[in-house]
Amino acid sequence: MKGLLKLVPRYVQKQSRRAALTALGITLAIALLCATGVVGASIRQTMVDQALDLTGDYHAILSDLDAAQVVSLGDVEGIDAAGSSLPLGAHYLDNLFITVEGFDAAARDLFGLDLAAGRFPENEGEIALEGWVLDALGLGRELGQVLSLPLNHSYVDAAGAYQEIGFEARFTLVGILHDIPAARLTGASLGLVAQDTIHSLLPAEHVRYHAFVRAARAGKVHETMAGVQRALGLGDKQISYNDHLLGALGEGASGNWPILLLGAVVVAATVATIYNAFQISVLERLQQFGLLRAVGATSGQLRLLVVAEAALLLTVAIPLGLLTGVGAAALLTQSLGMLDAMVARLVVPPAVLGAAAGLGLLATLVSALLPARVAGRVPPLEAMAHHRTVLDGRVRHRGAAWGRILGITGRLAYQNVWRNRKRSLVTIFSLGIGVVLFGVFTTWASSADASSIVAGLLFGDYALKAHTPERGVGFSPEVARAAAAIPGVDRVYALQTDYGNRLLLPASGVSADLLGAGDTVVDGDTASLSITLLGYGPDELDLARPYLETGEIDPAALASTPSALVVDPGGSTGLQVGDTVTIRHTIWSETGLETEDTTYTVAGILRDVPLAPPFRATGPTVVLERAQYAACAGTDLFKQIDVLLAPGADEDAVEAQLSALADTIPQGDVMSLRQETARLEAEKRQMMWLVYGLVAVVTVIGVVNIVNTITSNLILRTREFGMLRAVGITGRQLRRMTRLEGLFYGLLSAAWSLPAGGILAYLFFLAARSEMTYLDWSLPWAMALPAALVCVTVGVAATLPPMRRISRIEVVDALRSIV
Amino acid sequence: MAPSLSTSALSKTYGTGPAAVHALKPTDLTVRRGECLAIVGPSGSGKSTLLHLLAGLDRPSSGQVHVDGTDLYRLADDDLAIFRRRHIGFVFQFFNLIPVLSAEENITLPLLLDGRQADAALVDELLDTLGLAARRHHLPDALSGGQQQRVAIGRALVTHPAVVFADEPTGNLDTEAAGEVLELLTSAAHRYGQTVVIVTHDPHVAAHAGRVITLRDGQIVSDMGGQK
Repeated sequence: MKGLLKLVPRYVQKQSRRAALTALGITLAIALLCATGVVGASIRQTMVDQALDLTGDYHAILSDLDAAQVVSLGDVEGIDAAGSSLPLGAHYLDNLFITVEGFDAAARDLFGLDLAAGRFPENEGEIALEGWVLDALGLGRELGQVLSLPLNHSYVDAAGAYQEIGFEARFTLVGILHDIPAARLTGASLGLVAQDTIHSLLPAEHVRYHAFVRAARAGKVHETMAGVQRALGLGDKQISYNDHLLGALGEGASGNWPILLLGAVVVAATVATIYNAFQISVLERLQQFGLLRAVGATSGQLRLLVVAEAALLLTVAIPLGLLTGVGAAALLTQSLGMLDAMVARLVVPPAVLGAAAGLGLLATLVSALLPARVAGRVPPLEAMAHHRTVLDGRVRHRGAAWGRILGITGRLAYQNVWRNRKRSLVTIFSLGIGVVLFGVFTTWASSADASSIVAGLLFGDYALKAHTPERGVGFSPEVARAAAAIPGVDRVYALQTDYGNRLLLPASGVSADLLGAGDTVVDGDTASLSITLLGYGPDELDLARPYLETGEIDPAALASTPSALVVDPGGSTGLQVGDTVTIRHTIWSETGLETEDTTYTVAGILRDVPLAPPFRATGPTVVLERAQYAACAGTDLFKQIDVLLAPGADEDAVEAQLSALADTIPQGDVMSLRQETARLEAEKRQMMWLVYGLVAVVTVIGVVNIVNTITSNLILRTREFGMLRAVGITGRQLRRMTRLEGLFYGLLSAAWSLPAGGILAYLFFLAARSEMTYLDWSLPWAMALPAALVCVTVGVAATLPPMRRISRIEVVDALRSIV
Repeated sequence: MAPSLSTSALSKTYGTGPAAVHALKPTDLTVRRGECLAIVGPSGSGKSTLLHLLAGLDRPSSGQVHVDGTDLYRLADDDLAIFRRRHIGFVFQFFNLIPVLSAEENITLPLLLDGRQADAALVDELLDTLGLAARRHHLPDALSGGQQQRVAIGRALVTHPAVVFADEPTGNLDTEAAGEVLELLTSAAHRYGQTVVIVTHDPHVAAHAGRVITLRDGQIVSDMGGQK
């Protein structure tokens, strides 16, 4: 056995060019896998880092637990870490509320709390707050100061009713927390106290715990939590998930199918390349294998020989492929602005390196073993005579039509393509993959028109935007009037938006989906839905008219009587025109949380609205006329003012004046349709270049496959070429036949891949349109012909290297190989 | 009768200097139209080299080959290929049929390569003569060795070539099939007035030829049976 293995380096040395090409193929395949994996892992890590920063390192929050349940939590299988918190109460200011809670050390870690100064509260009566909150409270940042906070503690009583207790608590400031991400934006901050403080201030029956939980396996969070739910006897509403982090970790990977598809394509294409390379390597030595078998080598020994050769090549290809892959990933993420923005830091997880190397190893060994098995099974004499021709029986019925059109060379070429059905299918598949990817992404690009994306964000040529959901922050009606008065402005539309309102309506008519939404509350016969409340004037109501499904839009009536328009295209609220609904408006005030209920008659049902904000509550959107909106929401400020220009307007001058108006509030900004479209177009271009780069790599792999397939077919047909030359085929005819083979590979690849690309793109569109509402389905027909042409050109071009080999064939040599 | 095939000082040497191997020493040979010539000799005597040079498959080191008055090696490669398909027929030891073409299509292949339609009557006649009428639509792998070689003979004769070359045409057949094939080859060639050149080890095959030349060490050492 050892002696036989001595042949391996000699074979490799003797066929150094072929071995180098094979090693290059494996190297590129591993590099492609590695680069894809590293970029993917880096994007994911960045998303995870952002999610950790924003939300903390926990997977779920369990609420309303008693002390015994918190203790039992530690015994549940699959939990990696758990920490508890005890809510004390909330302190409300205008546009800000502070939840005072007692976190244990584990909860602090999981939530990602960190100190900017001082220490964490350890004793009763101590507190730590964010610095900006101390500023907002009008207190200094001096540690040790004593502060007094009016707090509201809410709870559900034994009868299931919502209750509140107000009290004032005094604290000593012992620490200043690092700013909690997004706290300032949302106006929701945290006051951190020791749990002993809660025990001392609240009656025992009001002490209910929250628990932050991290599952041991990030991919099994929902499974683990189901176990927790069973073990602790929790209701569905007692568990909520850190969707941001779980989304970044890929839990519920159904949304990742385009990436999985891309990965599968890369793996399939690389496996096909490696397989083809080894197939050729073995076929070229079929006679030598026959000789080895004749002198007593077993099939197993031949397999070992080929596998050892593969292993030798892998020792070079794996490290080189991994290095190249990591280098390419680094280069791509730094040179492409879009990727640069998505990757904060390049991570090279050992698992990715292992997977790329493992897949390369597996693909190489399988690719080497399959042809080695074939070699081992060929009878020695037959192998030595190189007499064997692989031929699929179905070939008989093919090619007659091509023969009539293209003559005998066309017919032979078509039949040659189908001689080895499996290999041909692999080749046609691998060449077509590039076209499928091209088709999917080009279709996506043509469906995702940048201007329609921007149109979803702003209605006119410009928009003044108040980038905050905070109440009491927005543009005044004076700003809207000033914008309308700018020379060159044709018209303005202004949008009032308010969150934190709930729609109370009969639960019996509400769909199960809506009832099951996380923030829906059902109290007896009444369902309370979270809604987006919009305020429209007469002009905006006119724009909404095309969306009316039932009822009517009468601006005067909507202004003078408490009536509302409800956006409910699917009828999920069960509301009809004429029904009565209640909007519960929530106000945070210094005295606590107050609610105000107003009853409205449903004047119309809309299927959608123009001028909607980009984010909406899970429940329906409700439109009130401005007078009614002001009465309900207690504000007449606008979150967005869309500006339409008159023809010939001086855009620069208008933009300058709009910028001045935007600056009237700190969170104000001007968006320009032209600039946003250009920015999105640039991003789209970058992404398409990235995709086209990938398509180019996959296409190169496809070309290598065709070259390999035709070359190996040629090796098998050397005898035939000799005979054909002997009976008078000219070099020109031989070249034409080979070119036609390439043409057929190209045509067949285009024939499957163009429809497949279209179908996949449509599936992608169906899956994505619920989230990417700007997608507008269109097939880029104009790209089909160029794609088919590229396929055919690539197919024909791929025959050039084998053709050089064909032209070198001497008739006598070819005949000698068989006599 | 005018010669169908002639050579003058035809030679082939592989390598140069002391390593040179003289596969065929300068040879003059004339074969008349309709003659059946067998080339015999031990392995390495140069008989396959001579056959390849006579058939225009290899380039000589020196000398000329004339087939029907045409100096083969003055032709460019493609012209030589066209000449071969129109004026020369081949029968090989391993049949060498195109596996994706039927028996009939294999027979008409040289015509198809020449862009010509086969004369249906001629093809029918050939298939009848060769005993392949019932197998005309079969692919080669559905035919026996003898039948495959008969198809190869049909392919060699279909263009009415001036000369048919056969390289060990029975080397891969059993005795019965070998006898049939040889009989068909010589009788069909005789019927169409064609010259036949056979390379063989087999004395029984040589016995079918009217003239036998023997090669040893790259030169003709005997020439028997031909009209001087």
